[in-house]
Amino acid sequence: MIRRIISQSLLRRRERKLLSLMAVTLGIAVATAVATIAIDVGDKVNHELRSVGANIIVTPAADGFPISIGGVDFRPAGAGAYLEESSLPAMKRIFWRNSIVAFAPFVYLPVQAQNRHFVLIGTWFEKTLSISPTESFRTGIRQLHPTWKVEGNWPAADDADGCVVGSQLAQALGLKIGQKLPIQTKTGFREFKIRGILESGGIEDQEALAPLESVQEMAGLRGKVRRVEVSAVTKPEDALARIPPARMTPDQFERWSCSNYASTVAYQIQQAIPGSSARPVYRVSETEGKILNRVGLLISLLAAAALITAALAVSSMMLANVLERRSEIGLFRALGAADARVATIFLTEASLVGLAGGALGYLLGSMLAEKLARAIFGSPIGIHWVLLPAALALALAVTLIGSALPLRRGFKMSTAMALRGE
Amino acid sequence: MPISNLKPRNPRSIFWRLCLRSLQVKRPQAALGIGSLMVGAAVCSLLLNLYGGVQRKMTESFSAFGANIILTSREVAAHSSDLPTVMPEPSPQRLEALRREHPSILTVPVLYVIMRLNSPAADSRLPEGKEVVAVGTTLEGISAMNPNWHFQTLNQRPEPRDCAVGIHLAEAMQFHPGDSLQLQMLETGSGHDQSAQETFRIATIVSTGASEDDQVFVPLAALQQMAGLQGKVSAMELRVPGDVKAIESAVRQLAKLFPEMDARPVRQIVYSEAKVLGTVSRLMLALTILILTIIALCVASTMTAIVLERRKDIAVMKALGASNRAVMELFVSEGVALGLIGGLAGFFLGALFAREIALRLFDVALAPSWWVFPVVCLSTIILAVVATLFPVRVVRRIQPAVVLKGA
Repeated sequence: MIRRIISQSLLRRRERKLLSLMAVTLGIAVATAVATIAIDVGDKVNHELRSVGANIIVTPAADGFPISIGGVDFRPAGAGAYLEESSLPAMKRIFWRNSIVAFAPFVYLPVQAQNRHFVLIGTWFEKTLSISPTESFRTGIRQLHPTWKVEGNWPAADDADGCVVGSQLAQALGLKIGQKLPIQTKTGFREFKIRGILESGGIEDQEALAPLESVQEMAGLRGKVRRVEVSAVTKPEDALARIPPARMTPDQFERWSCSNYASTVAYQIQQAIPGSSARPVYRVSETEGKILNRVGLLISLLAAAALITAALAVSSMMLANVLERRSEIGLFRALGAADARVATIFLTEASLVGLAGGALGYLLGSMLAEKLARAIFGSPIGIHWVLLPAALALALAVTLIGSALPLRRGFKMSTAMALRGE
Repeated sequence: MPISNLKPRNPRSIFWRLCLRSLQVKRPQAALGIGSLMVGAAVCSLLLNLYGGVQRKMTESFSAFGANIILTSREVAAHSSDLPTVMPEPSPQRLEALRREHPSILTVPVLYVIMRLNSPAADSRLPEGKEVVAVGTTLEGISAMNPNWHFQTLNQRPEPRDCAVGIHLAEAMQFHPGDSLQLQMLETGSGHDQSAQETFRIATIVSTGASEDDQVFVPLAALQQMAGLQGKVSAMELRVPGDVKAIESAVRQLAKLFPEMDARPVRQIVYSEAKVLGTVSRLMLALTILILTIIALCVASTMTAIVLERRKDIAVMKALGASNRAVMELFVSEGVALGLIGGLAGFFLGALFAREIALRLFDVALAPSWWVFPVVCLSTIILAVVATLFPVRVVRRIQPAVVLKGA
């Protein structure tokens, strides 16, 4: 009998049911969309923050007295220690290799042109490294410093004579794009072609950049690099990360190694590249940690607001439903049905609407999240299947509780009043 | 009683009496209506109030990246050193003028000179006479500019001959706070007294993770004196608070105030800030709109349900001769009243929550954003009215006789 009543009641008042389904779907969709974005927002903002530049610097451990300002080393070639360029791909084989977004090696050579002294910086503009037979990694200055402005072009990967001149140096020497730039070193001279003019706001604007191999050749430093700047996606520092690794217990060390703190990634890089010393750049890593924490907090707040709102929307719809059908409840009770039976009928309907709405809402919400992520971050967001049971559970809980409470009130009313429609 | 006596002296008075009565009599419904409107207004008020404060805080966070504008010499002089060209230090008057335009600007002068480093302890194990970069600046200035640098300071009264040493250099030379070091000009053959050494006391060890770890920081005046570069600096580092627009306008102003210098934004800080803040704003806006949409739907459905509940009331009014328009007027004014009460209460509740959250979670003392008040109240009233107007079809279709019969 109950089954007939329920199936009949489901078929009737279709408009009302559709409305309820829509309300549940929309509420759950918004909650799912916000939750999906909240899960990935930290990672996305972290990637965007990487355009601030390197947060880990790798230098030769044996290098005692660098003479550097803003990263540019003013020593003559041959002074101090170097790292092996061939050991660099090892960086993309560490445990946290996927955190490393970009890196670039540097050599510095003091040179002269038109009687003015400056430093020629050798680096990768955009190089495709082969990490393994199946995997390659594109990295270089262009990936490391996407905010640097170049008027003209960066030299192509095979352009051994192309160079980029800093804007202040170009102005002082009256250099234009396309001009030839003869550069003199202590041992010889080489002619470069100016492909672009760099504006960065840093000390590089007073120097010039050229391909790594070319500068290594000029300096007689084949296969050697002075310094590597690394840009890695890292987790904000907390109490665990501040303990010096040497003083950690094995358990702490395990947890620390399995988290991508800046200090962890630096430590792993140092282990991977022989003779190196890798350190986080505090100015960058600590600041972005604070920014990421704030963003995470903000989005969690919005997620909480979204959940509460969704719950409210669904329960108000359930309330309206039950209120509308007071006379029906009265009729059932007048006919002798026990309160529990009546409750079963209504709650079953509510749970069916809840489940259907929850599933639809999850799908709609995931699609919404995907569209939003593409529009805001420019990159896709994965489907988080873990949210499906959560969405269904939330929908079920809210529809049931949202119906149960007004039902209880309804049962307290006298049947006669209910039938009369008061 | 003659029927003519039933005509009210003032037709408007019935209107107001009905309006007030409905709010008094149908208290649970009114409460439900006000309640849902209040929650909607509260969430709206919370999000909007928070938006402004958090934006400011996020922009502030980026200031910890250090200087965002650099002033350097426009000339690149031809001389034997390849360090940045020196330029005359900006006069105090011009700096004052700058500070008047931008009250919270931070300016730090820096002078770079390569010097020879000696340790007076003359320990034969330590390397003697190494070249280092000496940076002439004010320690308060650079620590204010870079709050994330680690400073290990000596716990004694500061002296005029105090200096700071980068941690990498300190380790190589086995320096500790309290030790002394000596700096000497390089033999450039330009007539300086090469034997002149200046002794400094190491008061601070600086740890940054970058080039500063290999540098020595001394008072600007002392370095200027030693190098014969009185009144000269290599660059002025500036930090302007605010978003990209504020920084770009500061750069233009600097170009006007200091025409002989080159004012450049530090692109990797300024434009990353623009990108990240832009993304976060757009995200917050999108999510807020989503949430407000659901609230609007929720409120609309509640209000609609309330109106639908009152079919009998409408039937009675129509039976008494009220036109459809009169009935709608009544409902709309009820909607306005509910919207007003709900909006006011919701605004203050939301503003209160926003202040608490901002204080506890974001460390911001939020000043109430008064523009939020009219926005929230007006939207709530409009929402209430629209939700009330929705079932206008229903009102029109109501036939008093049918409804009053109980169908």
